[in-house]
Amino acid sequence: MSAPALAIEHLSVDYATAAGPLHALRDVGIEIGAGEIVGLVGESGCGKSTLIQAVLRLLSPNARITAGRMALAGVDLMGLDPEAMRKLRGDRISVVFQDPMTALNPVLTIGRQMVDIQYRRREPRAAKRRRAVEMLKRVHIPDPESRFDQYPHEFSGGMRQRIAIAMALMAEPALFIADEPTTALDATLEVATIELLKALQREIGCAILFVSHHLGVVAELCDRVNVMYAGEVVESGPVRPVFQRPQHPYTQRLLACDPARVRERTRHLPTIPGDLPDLVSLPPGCVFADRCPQVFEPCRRAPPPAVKTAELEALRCYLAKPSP
Amino acid sequence: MNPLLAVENLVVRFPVGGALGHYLKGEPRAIDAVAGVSLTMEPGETVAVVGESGSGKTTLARAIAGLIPVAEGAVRFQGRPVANLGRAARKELHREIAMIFQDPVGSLSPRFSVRGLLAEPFRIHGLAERDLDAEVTRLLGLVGLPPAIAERHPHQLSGGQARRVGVARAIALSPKLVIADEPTAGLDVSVQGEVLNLLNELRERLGLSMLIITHNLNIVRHIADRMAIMYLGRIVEAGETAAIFANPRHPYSLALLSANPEPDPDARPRRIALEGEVPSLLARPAGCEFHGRCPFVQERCRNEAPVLAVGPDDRLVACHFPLEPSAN
Amino acid sequence: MLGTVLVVLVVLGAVFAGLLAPDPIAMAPIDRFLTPSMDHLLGTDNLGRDLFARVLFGGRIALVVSLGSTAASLLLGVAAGLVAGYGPRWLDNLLLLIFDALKSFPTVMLALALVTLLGPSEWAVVLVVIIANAPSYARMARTQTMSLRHAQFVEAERSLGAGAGRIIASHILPNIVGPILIVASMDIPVVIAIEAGMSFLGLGVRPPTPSWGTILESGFEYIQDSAWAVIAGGLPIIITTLGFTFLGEALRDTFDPKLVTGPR
Repeated sequence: MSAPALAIEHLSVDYATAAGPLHALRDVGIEIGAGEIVGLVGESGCGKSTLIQAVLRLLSPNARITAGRMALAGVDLMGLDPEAMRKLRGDRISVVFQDPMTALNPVLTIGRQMVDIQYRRREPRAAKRRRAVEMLKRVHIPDPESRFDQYPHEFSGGMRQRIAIAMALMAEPALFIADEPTTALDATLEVATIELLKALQREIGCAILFVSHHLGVVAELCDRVNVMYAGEVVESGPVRPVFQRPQHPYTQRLLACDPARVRERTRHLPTIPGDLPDLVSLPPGCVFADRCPQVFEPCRRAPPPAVKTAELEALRCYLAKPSP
Repeated sequence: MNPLLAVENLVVRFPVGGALGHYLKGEPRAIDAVAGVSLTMEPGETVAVVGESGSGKTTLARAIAGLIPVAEGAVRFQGRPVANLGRAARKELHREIAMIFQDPVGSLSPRFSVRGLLAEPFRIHGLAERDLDAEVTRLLGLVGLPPAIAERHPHQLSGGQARRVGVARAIALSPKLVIADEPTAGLDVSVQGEVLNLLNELRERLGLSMLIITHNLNIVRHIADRMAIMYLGRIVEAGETAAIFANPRHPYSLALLSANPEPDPDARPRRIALEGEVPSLLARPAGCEFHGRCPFVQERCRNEAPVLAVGPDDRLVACHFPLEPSAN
Repeated sequence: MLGTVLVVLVVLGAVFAGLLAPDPIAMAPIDRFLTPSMDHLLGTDNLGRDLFARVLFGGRIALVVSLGSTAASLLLGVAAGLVAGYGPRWLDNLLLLIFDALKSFPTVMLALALVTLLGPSEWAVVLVVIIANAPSYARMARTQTMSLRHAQFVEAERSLGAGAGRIIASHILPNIVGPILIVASMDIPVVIAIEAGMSFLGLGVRPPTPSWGTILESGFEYIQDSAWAVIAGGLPIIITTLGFTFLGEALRDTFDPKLVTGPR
């Protein structure tokens, strides 16, 4: 049994602000097995970006990891010095971000960029070029041989995103992080990109952490999913139970709000009233208590611990029925 | 009785590249972002224009709002022609047709407070003698924002709040038509409903007509009576929203509607996968412009461009072989 | 911090020159080339004039001329840049032509040419500074304006009916002015050097008016007799230059968007 591609335990991250420490992540635990596709779902302010930066050890200067452990394929990330961490990035972990417009260097041809990032391999240039062209074929860029010497602005947004994915996967990383990779793309392009990711993942066998707020895409692509709210993982488990029988009130409301789910035309689409809590001065109890339709007495006293249930790996809610 | 808005064979053209590109590469001198669009709206209606990038939907909206010049065709608002107006007449038009822009925070001038932003429409049109503070309070109330928000600046607002300020600005001078460009863009799923509910409510209270530009089909169902689907600057299908969702007749409509993953892992997507990419506007395909990607393409499609024709139950389709209900 | 302290010292010295020092023009040929003492904190020059007084009064010239001409350059430059950036293409092309033509004049030749026409004076200095600096500010303003021209909030203003004047004045100008002010504050040492240099060459302020440049001029002439004039002329230039440079850099750091104060 190989080590999990990513194992995060009890991770907490604070930002220093004028008003005091902002608790952006609290006791976050995520595990991605080798070759698994795991989704991370959440809205603005849930801590997704902070989590990704923490894994990459690229947090802003005013952020601090106050607790927890992170391990990539068994290697403890916290114990690495900056040079060792730099070696991991782009090789064992690679990332694709949301905006295909700015992911590529506009003044270099894409061929040059794809060859350059193979700098770790001691191979002749021609071999690197072949591998790059091969990768372009795999992501369905038409005429890869001739388009190799074109500049990013000569490609459409969808193609640029595919090139970015190609570059990220060329190194055959242990973990591939996709941060909202399809959010800026049209719907038809989005589904094409998802199909592409599925196919590539089968071939390369890397683990994927897929971050998105498009619930439908996550349901289709991922094996397991973590739902985050205001810096915590509130529900986590295989996609079927989480999407079909959500246990946490936030997950339930989130799924109910998705207009894709609301089949009948209505004047009153469901929403989640209220705002995110202040992450500098957190409420004493459950972080969702103020907006929760099922709030009851223990919810305001202390934050619920993460418990394992029959179907879920983790659920932070006093309504949870822990598995025996 | 005149329709509120009548767009007739509208063409919006943008010059492209320099003269050099034309002579050396044989590229056209201009692209038709909107290539002949006709559309009408009655007072009180909400119409959605749907399409992907490059479809021309945003350009169409800007042309109707008077923000960009029109190359050919006409736009009539309450019977009067309103395309390519002079500066003074255009300013008048902006009181009657208001627009809400896509980026909630980015469409608000960063150094202005919310109060300043809401007072501005009155100042611009010389209505500053009105009690501006009262107007600001009234507008904030209409969009469900607390009065305290008036002192904040755009970067201090959440996406949902900024979006509401944008709506408030648009309705400040009681326009007849509001054009909303991607009203739910950049908003979390849990607040998208708020904006749509608000727009629906305002439509009823203020008697507004709305033109919604979006690529998000999920919201169209809840907000629009009729919809038009655009591809490469032309309308390919138009009609009643519910009817199109139930039975799309153009293959592109079918593809768009099916490209909507549902948040259910067991929903097997019955998907129409489109080959290739949207063609460049510089090199429009011959015949039916969709023929290169159409899963049902036939010989006639490659050579002959279909005309947007009225079919049964008032459905407009531009296709030689429109889909029958059984094809879904 | 250091920058602010230095600049404040210079400004205070200039403002209160009358109180702090004796008459800078009073000649006392008997007391030529005195070394520093309680009566003459920096000694005297070749005409027996108190150097400390001349330095402080010279500071007035330096500050007034440099700040005044920088302000004028900013006004003209930013206004021209706004018009070029927001106006029609032909106007932009015309203004660019003018900016580039002005910028291509070497400053020294420009100074010589202007002085030939106008005679040496502070105004010649001001004009040289404006012609040397305004085009750069104009270009900066133009570039920023052009990028903001298509910003969504500008389009939103247009859709409400705002005219070009309102948009430029209320929505574009406030958003571009920051970085340009920082550049201008870092240019002030250069401007001070232009004034001193021109005065040194006899093209700017004319004796007996004290200017750091004229102090240096006579100082070099009589350097065999006493080095104090050269020190008196050079030292304030160095202090002021350092002060404004540090201040400008501190301003730039304060507005650096990379210093995040929370999750992005």
